[in-house]
Amino acid sequence: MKGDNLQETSQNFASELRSFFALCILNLVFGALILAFGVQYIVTSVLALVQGGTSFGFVITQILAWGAIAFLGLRWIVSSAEVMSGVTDIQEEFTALEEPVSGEILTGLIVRMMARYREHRKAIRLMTLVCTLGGALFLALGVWNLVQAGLTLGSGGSPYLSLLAAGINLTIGMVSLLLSSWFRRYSRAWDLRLAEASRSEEALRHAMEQG
Amino acid sequence: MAERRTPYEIYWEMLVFCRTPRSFTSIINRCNLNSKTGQEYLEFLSGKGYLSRVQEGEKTGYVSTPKAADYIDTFTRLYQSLFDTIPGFRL
Repeated sequence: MKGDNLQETSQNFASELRSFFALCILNLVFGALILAFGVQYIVTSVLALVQGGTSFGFVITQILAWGAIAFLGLRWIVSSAEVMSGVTDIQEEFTALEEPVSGEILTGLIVRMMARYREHRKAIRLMTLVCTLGGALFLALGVWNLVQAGLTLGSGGSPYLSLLAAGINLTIGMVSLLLSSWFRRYSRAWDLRLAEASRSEEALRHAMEQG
Repeated sequence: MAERRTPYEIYWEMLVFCRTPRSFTSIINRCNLNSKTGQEYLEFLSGKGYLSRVQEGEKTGYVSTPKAADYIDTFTRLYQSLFDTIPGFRL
């Protein structure tokens, strides 16, 4: 392979590693935020239960709902960490390489990235699903908050708290859907590479037989 | 959890690593294989003439033959092209 091509491949590889690492960090931070929101609302609901004045059944339902959201956040963090751990060591190794990167070292890293993707394909799909479900859930909550704001306004109350909650939930929902679309794009690129690598196996088998 | 590699990827790793003579233990450690699987791969590559045994004192090692160069080149070209021809992921 010519030097220019190798340089380009190396740049493409580095750029993809950076993008995926950034995506994992974003996902991790976002999962932590979801977990924090969930725990915060559980505490608020428990305090409301202790202080009384609210229906017991309603508060318990709220605690269970926020508990499910906190669990979703936790699951989100675990999946992100699993996927990230596979790529972190490759990124560190690549960063430590001296320029120009040798073709064989780069190919070795590509092989490892492919192996990692095969290994984490399920986790990435789960994360895409969790992001999509989480996004839909938060968007639904946001819409419900808007309805609440409208009802409060209709009864002469102040809708600001409901509007604030709607803003937070709709933002989380949209970011979550955005993350899921990024994961889908990442998977699409790697699924294409795996398919292409499978097709290449025929050429490799041929090379072995010819040899 | 073990990384998932195809046999062709493992052949390539072995052949590149054995450009200089290597012992059986260093090969299986480097390629992250157990003894049984490592032995099978080495026998396959030796049988195809891609690896040859070398005697270093009392120890037996393996070294890639000139025949392995074509396979290494084809593999390297194919795998690097995966990052050139397929649109990558960018944020």
